[in-house]
Amino acid sequence: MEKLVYSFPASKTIERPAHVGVVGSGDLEVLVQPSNQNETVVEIRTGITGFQDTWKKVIERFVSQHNIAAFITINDFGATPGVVSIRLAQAVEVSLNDTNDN
Amino acid sequence: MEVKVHDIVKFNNLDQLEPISVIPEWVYDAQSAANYGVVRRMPVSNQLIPIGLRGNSREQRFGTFIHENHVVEVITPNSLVNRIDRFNNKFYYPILNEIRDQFQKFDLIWGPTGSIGFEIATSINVTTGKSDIDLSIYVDSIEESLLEEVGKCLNGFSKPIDVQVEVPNIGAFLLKDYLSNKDQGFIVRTAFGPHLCRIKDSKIKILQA
Repeated sequence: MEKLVYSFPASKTIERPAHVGVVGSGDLEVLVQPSNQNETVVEIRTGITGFQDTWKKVIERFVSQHNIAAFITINDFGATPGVVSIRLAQAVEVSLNDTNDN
Repeated sequence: MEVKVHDIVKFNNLDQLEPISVIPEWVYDAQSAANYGVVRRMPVSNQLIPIGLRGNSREQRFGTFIHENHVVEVITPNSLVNRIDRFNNKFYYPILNEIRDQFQKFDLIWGPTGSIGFEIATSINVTTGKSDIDLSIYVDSIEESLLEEVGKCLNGFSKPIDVQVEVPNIGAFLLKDYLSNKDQGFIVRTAFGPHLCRIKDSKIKILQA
């Protein structure tokens, strides 16, 4: 099990926590908690070691597109970068949308 | 030659791989990589089959291609269902055996994939007691009641069972993701990458990115 943590400055607050994705091969769970610090912290737990560079790129791309102050936890089960990006975007959508019951 | 994602192809030696990238050192040391590759989800062009070689750890995966002329055998996950009794000393045997029994009531084609499928196909020991139980099921179209029944059936097992549903010409999704999120958005993995989709009128619709 490997744990990776990245943090980036961020300013936009989010409405609500989110939990998307599933525990299953090639997928991941993304949990988003609103934060009142001016940063977004991403903590990744993965059973597949040695992909720090790929994770860093995926997360950097995500924060360049979404300026949200949040604590994001990722439980990875071998997702591809494409799947990770979709789940992160989905989580942000849930967090920003105050009419969603998820 | 028709191959599908998760099929296992056998080849005679590593020299036959397409010389598109440098082969990592571990490939030469891993028995599991010497003659077998697992078909990856990518388009097949110029008769080049995208395959992944597996090593001794989860980090050891090498994506490459092999020309179909070098493929000496194709082993489908479904063909492995008939072989599971030969593995009756393995931790997964009682589970697969029970699934085989239970699935007789469903009209579907299925088979073990992942490390368990690889082990049954090749008789090379790659599983550990902690290996995931991965299955693929093959359906012609989205039949919502069937998928729900399969999900309920598998909930009764003592270990989590990861099911990918393969739909021809479209791709695959995790049954669990589909069952929880089919109205909001679940991920369909296609030969051209993953897409967030939902079910409308029993059809898969891509949601706007």
